[in-house]
Amino acid sequence: MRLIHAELIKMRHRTMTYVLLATQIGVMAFVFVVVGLIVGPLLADVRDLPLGQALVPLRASGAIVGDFVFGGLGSLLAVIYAGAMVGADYSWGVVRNPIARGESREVYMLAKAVAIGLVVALGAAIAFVAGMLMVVITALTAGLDLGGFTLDTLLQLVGGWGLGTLVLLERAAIAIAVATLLRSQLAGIVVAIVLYVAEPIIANVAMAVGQFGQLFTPGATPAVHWSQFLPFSVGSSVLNEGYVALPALMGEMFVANVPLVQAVPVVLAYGAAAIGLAMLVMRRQELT
Amino acid sequence: MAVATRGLSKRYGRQPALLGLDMSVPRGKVYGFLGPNGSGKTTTLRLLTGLLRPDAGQMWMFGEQFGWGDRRRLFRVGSLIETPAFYPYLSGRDNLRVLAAAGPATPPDRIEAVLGYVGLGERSKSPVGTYSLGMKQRLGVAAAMLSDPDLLILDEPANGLDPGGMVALRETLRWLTSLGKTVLISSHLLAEVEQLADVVGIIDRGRLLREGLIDDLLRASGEIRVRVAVEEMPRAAEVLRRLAPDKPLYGIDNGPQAGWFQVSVETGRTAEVNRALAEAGIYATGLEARSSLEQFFLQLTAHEAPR
Repeated sequence: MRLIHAELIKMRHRTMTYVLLATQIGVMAFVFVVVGLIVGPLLADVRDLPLGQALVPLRASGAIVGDFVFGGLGSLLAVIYAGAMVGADYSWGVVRNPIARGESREVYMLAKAVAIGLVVALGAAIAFVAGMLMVVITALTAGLDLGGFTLDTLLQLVGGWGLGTLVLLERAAIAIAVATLLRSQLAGIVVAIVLYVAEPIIANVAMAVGQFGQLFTPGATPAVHWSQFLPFSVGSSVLNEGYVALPALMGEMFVANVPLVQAVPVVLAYGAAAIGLAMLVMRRQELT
Repeated sequence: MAVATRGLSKRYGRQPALLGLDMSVPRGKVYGFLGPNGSGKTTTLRLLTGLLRPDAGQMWMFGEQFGWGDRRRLFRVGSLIETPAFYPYLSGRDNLRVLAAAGPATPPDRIEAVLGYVGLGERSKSPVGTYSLGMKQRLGVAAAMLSDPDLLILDEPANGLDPGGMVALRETLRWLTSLGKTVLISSHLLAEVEQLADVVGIIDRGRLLREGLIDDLLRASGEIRVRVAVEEMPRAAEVLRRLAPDKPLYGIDNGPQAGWFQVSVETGRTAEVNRALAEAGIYATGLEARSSLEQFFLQLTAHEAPR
């Protein structure tokens, strides 16, 4: 607990913590303000249009906010943050200090990962709540009916928030492992971003090649492809299946999402493996 | 012994850093660890503090042998290795707070105490990024003292300190040894080490060249400079050669009035040198006994050009 508290002190005082959260909320706010102020008044009967349908019912708007907070932008920021927090210890040389005081290397890394997870989860929760508030404000600004605010919808939002947080933590854990391996703040951030961006591209190419025949087969049943089990892609399946991401609204196209019952354990396994790898690397690392 | 190593070896890839280091740091003393750049000093300190894994050899701390994974011995050690490293956006006090969470349990009031020892009380709430090199160095010493350790390992602690800071550091380390603590200090500031250390070890190319009480080493390694008239120089050289047949003798002609001879004999033999010259009818116009750690260090390590 002492170590986790110390890690939280470090993150509480780091400007980056607030800058990234502000970026997340700021971008969301910008989009919703644009939608509320421009799109709403321009389209008299927006309720009947796809955009209005997507934005207003809470279940669907939860997916839009979730896509911001847990999907594209949120995951990117979580990867940057986790990579920076771990990499900074190496770039500033401070990782030597606790180890030279006799602290367990594995426990130190685990405490750091737990603290990063707590901050990422808290930041995501704040951003998610802020996003949902923006939905309400946008709907009111555009004169739209919120509609569908039932207990079922609320539970679905909470469930989506939980699944989204799980995915975010898995992606942050991967960035922690990358930064520990590379021992650098900048390299940790850059490589984690490259992985985050490159993996879906590779997965999409692999899927396109693998499912090429289905493009010309009308009515073919979408199938799960092996590339969807890659670390970042399987997280996307969780977000889609849990209606926490925008693609979920569009339905399945050429491939099916990995079912939650498979995807969630895989995400958990990737997260645990990433932290385990970071601890193992830290245990064996020579600190110069 | 507070620290002992036998046959300690370490390579960085194909580059050897330590080649069988045997060192012994007695308890309750200040041990000056000296060596040219790249001689293996910092590598040794990193091995002792568990940052590096040795390739071969044994290490003991307070009489107990330890290996790479035996981290609990470090609860009795405070260290400052190379440049002091801190979170630049945290204050000095917060840096010590987060450091105190690692390793041995540290009472909260200890943070204020060590900040006071190094004279950083007033600036302790400022971000470390705004500190001068000397202030960071002082904070590094405070961090090393945080757990009230029995052994302090300090790598170049006087770097960047102003004269006042160096005096304060010297007094603090002296005070710590008076409490029975052991200080292992590596430094390039030989005059500083000479004032501070009880024991020195000189390392070069990964091997310990000499180790012992500083007084004993200096006594055995002094030099005497003799000033005689120029016309007396050939005869004076003969006398000095007889006196110290296997020691180097340098003649330095400073002009028509007088010349200098420098002979490497123990500084305790000054009177003997003077008498021998007088008995030969040569009256020295100057006789100077020189003995310094710097000179001793340079003699030992002068076999190669600086790297």
